[in-house]
Amino acid sequence: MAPQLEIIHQAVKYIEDHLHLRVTIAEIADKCGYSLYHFIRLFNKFTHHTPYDYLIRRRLSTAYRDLENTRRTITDISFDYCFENPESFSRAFRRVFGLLPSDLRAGEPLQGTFPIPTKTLEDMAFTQREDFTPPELVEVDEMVLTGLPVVLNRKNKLEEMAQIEQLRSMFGKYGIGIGSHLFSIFSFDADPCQPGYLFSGIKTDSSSFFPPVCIQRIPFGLYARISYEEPCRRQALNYLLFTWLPGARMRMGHHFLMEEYHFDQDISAERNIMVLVRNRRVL
Amino acid sequence: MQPNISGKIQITLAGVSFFGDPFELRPGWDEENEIGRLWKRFSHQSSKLENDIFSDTNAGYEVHITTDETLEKGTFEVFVGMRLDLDRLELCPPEFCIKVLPETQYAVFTFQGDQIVSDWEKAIQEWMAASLYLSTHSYNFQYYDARFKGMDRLDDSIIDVYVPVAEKA
Repeated sequence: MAPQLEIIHQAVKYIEDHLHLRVTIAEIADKCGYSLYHFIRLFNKFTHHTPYDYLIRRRLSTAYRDLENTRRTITDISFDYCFENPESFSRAFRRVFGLLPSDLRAGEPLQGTFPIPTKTLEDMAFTQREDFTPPELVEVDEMVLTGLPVVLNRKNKLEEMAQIEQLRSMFGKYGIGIGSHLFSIFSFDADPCQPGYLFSGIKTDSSSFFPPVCIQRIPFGLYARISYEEPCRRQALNYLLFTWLPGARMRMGHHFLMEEYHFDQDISAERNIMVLVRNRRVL
Repeated sequence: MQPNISGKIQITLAGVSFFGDPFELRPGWDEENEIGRLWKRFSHQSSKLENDIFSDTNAGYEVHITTDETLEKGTFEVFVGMRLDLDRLELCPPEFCIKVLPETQYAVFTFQGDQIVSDWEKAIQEWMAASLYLSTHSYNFQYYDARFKGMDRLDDSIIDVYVPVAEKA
C-alpha cells in the first residue's frame, strides 16, 4: 500500500502545482502511471475525495484566501483559477462555502464551512489505519459545564494540560470531578486552525463556585463525532472538518469543537472530537 | 497478456445506469460504492419483473462509457444489465433503460484472482498501443458469469473484459 500512498501524495502535489493551470484528471492519472479508472479509485481510497472535487475545492480555497488578502478583482481571481467566467466561479464558490465571493468581500463571514488545506501524507495515512473509523452522528443533550476558560495563542497540548491540571486541583479541593467526564471546548472566530478560546469543565449542579470558575452552556443537537489517539488529533480534525462534513453535505452549526474524556484519564488516551452539525442548504 | 479477438457481435442490454464518479462514496472494488449499489438496484428491479425480458440471466454486463467529461473530470457512465430478448422489447418496464452496443469485434481479456482488482485498464492500454488493433468505441464492458464467485471469493473468480476493436489500417 505504501507505494500507492506515495504516488497519490505525488498526485496531490501535482494538483497543488496546477491550481492556476488547466489540467485534466486524465493528465494527473498519466503522471502517476495509472489508468484513469484505477487512479480515480486510488485517489478516492486515500483522500476520500474524488480527484475533480479535490481539485475544485483546493482552487476555491486558495481563491478564498486571495479574496481575503489581495485586492484582485473577482473576475481576475476567477480566471486565475481556471474558471470559464466569473459566474461559474461564483456559483461554485457559493456551492462550497454558502456565500458569494462578493458577499465575502463585503465582510460576510463563513458560517460553518471552511477553506480546505492541502492533504498531507499524514492526513492520508490516518484514514488507512486499521483502527480508523469514519465519524458518526450522535444526538447530545444540552449540557451546562462548570470550568475554566483560557485564551489560546495556539491550540496545543501543553496549554490544555496545564489548564486541566489547574481544574483538577481546584475541583479536587471540593472532592468534585472524580469519576466525571471532562469536556474541552475549543471556540474560534472563523478558522479552526487559528488561535481561539479553550474552556475545560465538567457537568455539575453546583452554582456555588466563584471566579475564575465559570459556566458554559453546550446546546442540544446533532453532533458529528470522530475518535483519535495522539499524535493524530490534527489529522482527525482535518478529516472531520474538511473531508467528512463537505462529503456529507453538512456544515458546522456553531464554531466550537468539543472533546470529551474521563476526568482521571491520561490526556493521551483515545478521545473524541465532536462538532455540532447542520445540513447544508442546496444552493 | 493476450486477448482473444471475437467476431463481430451486436449486443442489446436492459439495465440501470449511473453517471458520475462511482467511487466517491467508497473507493476501489467495494460493493458499497455506486457500482455495487447499481448492481443491487438492478438485482432488486429484476426480481420485481412480471415478465422475462432477458435472453440470458446467467451473465451480467457492466459497461463503462467515457464521455467528453471523463478525461477532464473523471466522471463516466456505468451501466449494468443483462442481454435483452429483443422479441420482448415492449415488456421492458420503465425502471430499465436499454443500451444498444454496436456491432463490432472485441478484444476479450480474461482476468482472475488479484488481477481483477489490479490496474488492468493500464495493461489493456499498453497491449493496445503495441498491437495491430485500435479501440473503436468509447466504452468497454466487464462480463460476469458463473466463473465470478464474488468479491469475497476473489481468488476463485474470473471475469472477462471486452474492448471494442478494429484492425489498424
